Amino acid sequence: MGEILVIVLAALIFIAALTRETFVLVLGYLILGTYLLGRWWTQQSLKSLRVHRLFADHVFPGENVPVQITLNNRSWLPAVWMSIRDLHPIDLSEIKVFKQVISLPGRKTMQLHYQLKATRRGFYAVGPMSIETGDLFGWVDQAFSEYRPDYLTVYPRVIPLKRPDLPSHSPLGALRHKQPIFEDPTRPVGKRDYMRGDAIRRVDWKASAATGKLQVKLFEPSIDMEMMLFLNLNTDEYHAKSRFDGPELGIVTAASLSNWAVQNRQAVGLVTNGIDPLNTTGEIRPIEPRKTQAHLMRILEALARVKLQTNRRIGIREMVRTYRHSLSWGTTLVVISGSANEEILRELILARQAGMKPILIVCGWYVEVNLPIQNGRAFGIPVSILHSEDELRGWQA
Amino acid sequence: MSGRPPADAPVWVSRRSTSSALNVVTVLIFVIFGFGIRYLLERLSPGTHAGYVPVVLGASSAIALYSYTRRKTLEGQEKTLFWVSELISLAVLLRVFFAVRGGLASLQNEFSAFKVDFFAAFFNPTYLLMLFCGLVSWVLSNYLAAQYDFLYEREQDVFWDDLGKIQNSLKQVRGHIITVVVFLLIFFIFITAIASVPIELQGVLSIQAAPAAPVWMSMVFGALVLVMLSLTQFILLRSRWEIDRSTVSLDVHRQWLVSAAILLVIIGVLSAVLPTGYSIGFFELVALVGNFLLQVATLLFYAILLPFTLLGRLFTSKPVDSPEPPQVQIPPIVTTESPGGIPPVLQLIRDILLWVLTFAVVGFAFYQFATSNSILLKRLGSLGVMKWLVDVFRSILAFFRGAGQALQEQINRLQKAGVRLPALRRRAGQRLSAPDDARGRIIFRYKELVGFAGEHGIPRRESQTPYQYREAFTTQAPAVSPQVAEVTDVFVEARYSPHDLQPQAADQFEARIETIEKALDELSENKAGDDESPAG
Repeated sequence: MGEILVIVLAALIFIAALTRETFVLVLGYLILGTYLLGRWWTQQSLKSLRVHRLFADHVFPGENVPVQITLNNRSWLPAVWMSIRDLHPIDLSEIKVFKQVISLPGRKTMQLHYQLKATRRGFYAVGPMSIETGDLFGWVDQAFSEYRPDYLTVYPRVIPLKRPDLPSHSPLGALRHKQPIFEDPTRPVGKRDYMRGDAIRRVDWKASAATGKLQVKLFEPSIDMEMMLFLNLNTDEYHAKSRFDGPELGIVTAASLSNWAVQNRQAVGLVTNGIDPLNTTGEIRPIEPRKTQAHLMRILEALARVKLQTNRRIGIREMVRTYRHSLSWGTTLVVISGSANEEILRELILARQAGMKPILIVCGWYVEVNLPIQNGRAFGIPVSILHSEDELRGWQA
Repeated sequence: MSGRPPADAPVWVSRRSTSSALNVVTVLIFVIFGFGIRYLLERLSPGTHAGYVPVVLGASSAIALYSYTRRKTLEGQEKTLFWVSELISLAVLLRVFFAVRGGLASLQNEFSAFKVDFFAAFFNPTYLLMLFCGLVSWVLSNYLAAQYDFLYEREQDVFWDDLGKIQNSLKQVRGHIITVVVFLLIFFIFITAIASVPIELQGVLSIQAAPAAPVWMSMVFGALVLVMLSLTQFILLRSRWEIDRSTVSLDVHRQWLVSAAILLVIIGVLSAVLPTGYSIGFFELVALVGNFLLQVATLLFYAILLPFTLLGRLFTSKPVDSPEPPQVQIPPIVTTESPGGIPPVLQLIRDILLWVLTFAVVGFAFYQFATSNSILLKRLGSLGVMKWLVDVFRSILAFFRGAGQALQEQINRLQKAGVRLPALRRRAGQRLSAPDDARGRIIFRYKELVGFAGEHGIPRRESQTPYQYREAFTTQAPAVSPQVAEVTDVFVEARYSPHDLQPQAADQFEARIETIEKALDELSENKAGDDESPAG
């Protein structure tokens, strides 16, 4: 409409100027003025607008996320109308788009609020936000500006575990252990009379002199549990009916185990074949075992972001085979997958032979276990089957 | 139906008020239109009693708008009867009005005339003319009332009808309303223009030239048309927001009203202030300005040659006459009129302003047309002369842009680090000369791309490196990611490498940039198109 209008007006003004028709010229000025001013005003409204979206970008499931949009009009001109649309995934709110039409006076700041609800883990784009405005007469098309999205990370659910049944071969650690072969000489707990077979190194000579009988020191057994989690997110390797709940349960299990390990000052690492949306190659780099809280957050962030994948070349067996060589002796190797078969078992047996302590956790409401399991073990390797988060909570006992 | 908001919702109140406002504006438009007709009638036939035309047109319009709401509930024969009775009542009322307008004496004269020849006295020419004007106003108002009613009805359908259908339908209705109003506007211009033109028909009609119609009429009429446009645009947008289920702030209605009023006042004042008459025609003005410029150029030429002329005296034995400096003088302004005794210089300024304004508008219209018809522009661009002109224009533009950027950069630098004039001069020199060589061109065009992309929603933050910006860019516009990657690499090479760059590299670089800019334009258009798609 604008283009035709300008051409008509130009012709009108030109003819009016030639024929000296004052009132036609005035009319031309009036209409052309509203067109030009309206057009300039519309562009200026968007140019002088500063938009800022503020929210807590890392949350846990179940938390409410208040989002605040701040609009700052730096111009003296008011923005008569602005239609604001802020997109967000349906997982975060029942309404997919926040929509509001406002009027923003000149040199004013306005804040708009809405709530998101973090229902499930993920890496979500909040936005992009689009702002539309236009002139008061409909001369020009609506001007449109888009603002980049911000990202919200919802961590996976972390279930606090107290004593998960995770064996380790690593001696001299921070965790108390039942087996006396892992006694820690830095943790003396008492003395007893010497018995045949006690090592000479354990004799407490001072106490022996004082009591007149040979006394030997008693130590508390302990282990160090460096743990590496291998998380399989290839949905093809889960039961067909548990393609989605199985990997998600696996993620919760990995997050909970990582949390447990770090709370007990144990090093934990993560290898997964899921997809990282932030990495151009799509792969998640393996996370080396570390003990700190910051390291835990790094693992949780990766688990929050990771996406399930299908038909990827690298399966759980290849993953274990690739990375087990770089793990230290005694590491507890936790494999979380949706199925248990001979192939993975063969890899785990090789890992055990290399001095590691492998464990297989099969997740999903429906699981594929093609192995003879007796007393929770398949060929001596512990196998746990988790059907739901409730069963994981059972590990608290 | 179930989704309809409660009757006391703000939008509902606003709907009633916009509906009333449309009716008021319609009546006012017909009143002003009446003034135009009155002006024409008084010019064509000075004896005609046309003073009541605005009242007749306004009243007919008001009656039509009011009775439409009553009539629309009727069906079939009832409706026709109502229609006929309304017309007869209108005609009788108009006649009664004419009979009593001159007081008791006029009424007595009317009755006396009725006794002689009732038919001829009742349907006298003035009355018939007024009746015709009133009927036209009544018919057009009825049509507009029907459109308003349709607009209102369609707007209410937003809760259960298809979004695109409603938007298209509303746009169509708005189109009909605007068509009628523009038709009135054109007719208004025509009658007011024709009223001031001398007409000489041998033995039939002889009208002398008269001063143009009063400016206030066209200003008020234009303002009312704009108010009508603004109202209908608001209704269109409001229905869109409702369809969209957006939360609409109450301030929007108030702000719309206030802003439209302020805008109209400002433009009205500007329109009244801007020049409308002139005493020097365009070609005379061109000749005048050209002559003046020529004289200035001669003076400059004289000033340049003066030292050489004086030096020449040293080598000649003959006395040389001292050269006379040419006189620069403004040529006498031959005015065709002298309104209000304005001094000639002010007249000249006014005339220059008017012609510059007129040609600026024409140029702007041409530019608008050319940018929206790019094929035409390309064909024109392929002509040799046009190429040269475009190059010259671009060079000038680039120079000023470069100067502006350099100035801004230096101002920023000075604000941060204090004044260092030698460095400032050196850097400004470098910046301005940059577009000449391949390296400078690449850096310059890259910066232009960053600015361009920023305007298209991909702004570069100050902290972002070129590669970080590339990532952000390709995320937003994946279609051009290979070109963006290439452009970034070339830019980094140009910016940081010590070796020389070939001009071909800069040419290729510029071609890539153009591709990206085109893609960004298309992306923006598509987005805008997606946004408009519900309306079709």
